[in-house]
Amino acid sequence: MIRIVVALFAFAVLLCAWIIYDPFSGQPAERLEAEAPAPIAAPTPTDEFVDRLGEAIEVTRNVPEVAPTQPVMREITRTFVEPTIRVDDRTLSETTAGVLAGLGLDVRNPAQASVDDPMAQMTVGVLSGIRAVIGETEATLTEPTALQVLVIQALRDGQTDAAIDAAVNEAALAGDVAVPDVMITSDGRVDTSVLLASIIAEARVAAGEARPPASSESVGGDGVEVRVVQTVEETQQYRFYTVSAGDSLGSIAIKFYGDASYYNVIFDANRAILSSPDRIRSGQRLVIPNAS
Amino acid sequence: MKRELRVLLVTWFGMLAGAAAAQDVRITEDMATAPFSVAGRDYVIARNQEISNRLTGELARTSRPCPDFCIQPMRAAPGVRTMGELEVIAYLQDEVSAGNGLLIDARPPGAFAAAAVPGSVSVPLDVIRAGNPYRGQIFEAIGGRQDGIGFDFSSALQLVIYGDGPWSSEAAEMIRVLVDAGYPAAKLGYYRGGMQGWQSLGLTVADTVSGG
Repeated sequence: MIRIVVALFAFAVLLCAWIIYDPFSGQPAERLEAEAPAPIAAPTPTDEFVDRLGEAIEVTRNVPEVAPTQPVMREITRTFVEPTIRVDDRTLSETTAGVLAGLGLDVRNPAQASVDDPMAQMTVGVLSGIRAVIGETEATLTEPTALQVLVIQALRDGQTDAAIDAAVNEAALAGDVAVPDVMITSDGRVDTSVLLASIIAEARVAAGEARPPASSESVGGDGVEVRVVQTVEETQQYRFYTVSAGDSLGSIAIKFYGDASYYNVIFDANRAILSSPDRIRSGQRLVIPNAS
Repeated sequence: MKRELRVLLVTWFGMLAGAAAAQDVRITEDMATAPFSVAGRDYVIARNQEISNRLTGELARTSRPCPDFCIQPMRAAPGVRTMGELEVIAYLQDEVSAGNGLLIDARPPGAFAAAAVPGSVSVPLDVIRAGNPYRGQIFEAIGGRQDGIGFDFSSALQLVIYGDGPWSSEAAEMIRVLVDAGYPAAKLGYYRGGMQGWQSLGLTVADTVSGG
């Protein structure tokens, strides 16, 4: 009795296998040819059937193997598709000057910035004299970058800072614009406020206001740590700052010095842990040098 | 009377000699003139061949009030070389014409336009002072690179700077301003004699802004 049951079971298993493999329908083989990543060498007429059967079995067997590899494939695809923010090799000040030029306020050419300023006039004369001797032609205007065009348009439209920030981030994530490295935050976003603050500061200078000195007043708040080291000769104060989410090197420079252009001071003091200005991460403890 | 006669005699002989030899007042024994070119323009420095020539007017003054016109020390700043006329001429021929350096006139633009060393460029002291909000552009024009708050002058041009003369401070002052801004002293030179020293030797003077 038990033998009959085992035999029937074995028969059923074989039948199932036969139905699944179905070597005579020809469809799996055709499907295989359609899906085959590389053309398979043309089978010789004599062993065509054997070959096709073998291929079919192999492909069918491969199906369950493909499934576990799928997540890996998706991961690979993601690293290509996932938007990464491109870093512009133009500095923040260059980007700022370009935006101001686009707004009709050229800080690079003092003649246009303020015609009445005798110092600007004199500077223009000196520059043309130097260029004549060096044999350099007048500096040509460089084409504005995509970021500059975007910010210029947004500022012209009178958009809010938050709206500009959202637009810049969207464009940066889509890979449409490249941004200066100091604007990249610890969580991989673009800190547009750094650029906007820089634009305002430069516009003030262009309008004839004196450049404010670096603020050295004590800065408090989350992540700020002050250590006073007393030696026989002097008392030195060291400041540290722990990076939190959303901080960029530019915003930290604004926080401590009142000017994003001081980012280099922080970057230089922390080269041991920062490979480049856009590589800041939450939790990093940065030394903040005192403004000299 | 005797002195006057001697001057007359020397002048007479000088004129005779001048007619005989084309270049009687040479720069040095080996060098009659110093030709060079800067950015496609040709210049020739020579000396006034008129032996009777004398400085007059402003250049002949000896006693300007100090302050402001005080005698300058031989060294403008540590590490900055002080140069005489021959060194300035060699610098024009070797460095300025090769595009490695500039000869800078630190006086106000009006003084430069009236008379200047050929091949020099006008950079008045005031535009180099920290008070000029546009001085960064001049630093960039002479090869400085913005580096955070300051400038990196490691690949900037050599500069030799002159002013009115040993009694005038603008050239030495400009050197101190540049050193404070981070300019390497080794790239700076000080022609202490200035325009008065230059003209007292009868050396060629450019009399327009374009340096003709």
